[in-house]
Amino acid sequence: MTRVQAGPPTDLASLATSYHALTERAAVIDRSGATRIDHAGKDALDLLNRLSTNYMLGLMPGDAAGTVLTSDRGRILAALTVVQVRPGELIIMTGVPAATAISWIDRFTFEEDSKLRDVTGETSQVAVAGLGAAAVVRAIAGHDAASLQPGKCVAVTVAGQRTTAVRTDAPGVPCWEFIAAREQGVHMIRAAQEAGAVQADGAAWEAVRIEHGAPEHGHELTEDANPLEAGLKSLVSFTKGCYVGQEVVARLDTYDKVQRVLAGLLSDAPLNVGDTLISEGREVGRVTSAAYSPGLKQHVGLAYVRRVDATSGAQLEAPGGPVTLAGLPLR
Amino acid sequence: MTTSTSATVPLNTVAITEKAAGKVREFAAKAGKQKWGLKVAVKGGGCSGLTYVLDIVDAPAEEDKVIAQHGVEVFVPKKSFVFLAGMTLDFSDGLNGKGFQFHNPNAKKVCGCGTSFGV
Repeated sequence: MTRVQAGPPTDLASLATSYHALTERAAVIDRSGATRIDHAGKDALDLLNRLSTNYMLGLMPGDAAGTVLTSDRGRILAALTVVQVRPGELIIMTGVPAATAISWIDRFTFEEDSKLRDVTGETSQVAVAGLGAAAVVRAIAGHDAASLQPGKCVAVTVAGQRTTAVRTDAPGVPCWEFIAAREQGVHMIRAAQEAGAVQADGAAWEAVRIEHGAPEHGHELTEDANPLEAGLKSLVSFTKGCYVGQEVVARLDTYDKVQRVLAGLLSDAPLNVGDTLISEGREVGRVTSAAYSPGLKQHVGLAYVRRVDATSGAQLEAPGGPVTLAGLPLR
Repeated sequence: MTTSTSATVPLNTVAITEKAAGKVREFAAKAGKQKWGLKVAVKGGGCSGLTYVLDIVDAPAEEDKVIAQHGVEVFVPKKSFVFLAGMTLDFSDGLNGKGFQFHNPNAKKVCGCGTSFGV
């Protein structure tokens, strides 16, 4: 078996620059690869309220809220950020393919006034993030956008074009996401750079996301997990009544039956998604996300770990070497 | 006391028991309706994915299936009928009664409240 050489990645300088901007200053990142769906119709919010975990009927114009589509077994199908800029105009942001979310919602749509349209290809999504991001946002989009609180959105003009600004704080740092016409993406990135933001790459975003324990589709957010295991309890309403999967999720919470938790990993050796984690000869979990953190100067990861084994500081064995289990966020 | 619903209902219709029909007529009278029908439909939601909908409405929609039984006209929307074919609507009263009950052969899973089902 070939062992991957331990240590930071070879393009560390580039990663470190992006990472530093994303955490300490301001970074701009093209996030157009994520999915955007227009959801129109007077019953759109009511439908989402019945199909997902969070209370959506209170979403007012200017609000953005996270929620999770779950199966009738309470498993994660898609985590959504639902944005209502103007009355009745919803944008759904998600990490799953549009067809996955649309077909699930359509499956439960009978007589409701609800129209879903994949607008991923005709729109762009640009994130400005970091502790110093507000100054960049103020420069490119004005005070209304810069003063947005998490979970709020506003219609603004960026580089002369109509844009929706949403405060998501997605990877765990202050983060504004701008959604505009496809061709507008490059202009938004240029405007942010001119205002002092560093264009960051996906590897830095991934490192910060992992450090903050933000679960992502294809990694932690899969049908193998439920929202409570994934650390998404804040996106679950336990008082709104029924939604698909509610009975299972409520039972897991009420009877304290969550078996696994999302835990952080620290390692001197590279981690790989899928690596098994061993404790006293037993598998206690598998790595779901892995990256190198220039801030911690260590390899970091996320894993679902059996709750009984999830002790911060516990030493585990991965194929590449020893791993320390750590609480989230990692820094 | 609950009306027995053991008889099989053909899959090209839905049935309403005499007791349920009587209760529906009662509701319609209270609402002061002269011409009305009982809409029986399905909507997304509930613990198991689908939830029953009952409503007193003035008339059927264009593509509704219309079934008359025990003096009640039942309107079933076309898309809902797929999930309701062969169902009996019953009514259970008394101290431990559960109100309207849905005996639906298509329901593979029913949640605790009894108004949500999965197929």
